[in-house]
Amino acid sequence: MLILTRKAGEMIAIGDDIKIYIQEIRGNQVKIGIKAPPEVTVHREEVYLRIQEENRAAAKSTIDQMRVAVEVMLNKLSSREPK
Amino acid sequence: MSGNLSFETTRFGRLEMPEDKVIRLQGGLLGFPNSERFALLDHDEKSPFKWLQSIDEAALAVPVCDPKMFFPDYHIRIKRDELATLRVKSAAELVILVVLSLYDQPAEMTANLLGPIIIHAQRLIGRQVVLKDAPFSTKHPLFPELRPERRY
Repeated sequence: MLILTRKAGEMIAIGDDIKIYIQEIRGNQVKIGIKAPPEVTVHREEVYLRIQEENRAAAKSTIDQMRVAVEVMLNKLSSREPK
Repeated sequence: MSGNLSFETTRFGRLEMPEDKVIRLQGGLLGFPNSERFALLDHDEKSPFKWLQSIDEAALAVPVCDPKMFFPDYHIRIKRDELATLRVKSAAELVILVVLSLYDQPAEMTANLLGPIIIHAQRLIGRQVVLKDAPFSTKHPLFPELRPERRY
């Protein structure tokens, strides 16, 4: 891993079109600006990992569980209909 | 005229569908980058839930649904440049799906409201987005009424 030391107000360039800007350093927090092309997605790592983990859980769903879910949902919908 | 595509799935056996119904998810589902082509399969015709089945990976399928069905207030804000790669001009062109995690107990089933899938309805190109600063959870209960011990 490349380690660079930067001060507030300085930038890092990655390739031609990604720029990382150190906006502010306060205590143990760093405020970072990222400029990247739209096809490059940028996420806080912990949020990204949570979505990945949830996709993996979703991919374990079975046809039997789907059957149950649909039944519960259809019951719920029919009980919602006006009498 | 486009032809038919035949592919193997773990849950449903061999399936066939018209090639022009294939949904392409840019970057795939997060955590599954090797699958970009998907088919949207009805569980049955009455079902509010569908399967988003990978064409490239037989075992990969996730349940999905229209979030409005459960969460009438659900709306998302996506930055214009994130939409640019889908060539979406207005929100009306988008179909939004949320991924469901199903378990044996319905009370435990959840919807991922933080990582919806947005698809250009005509072009069938989409991606899973991660909402920023949204008040949504990745594990929103589908049937909160079945969990009386907790309030949502």
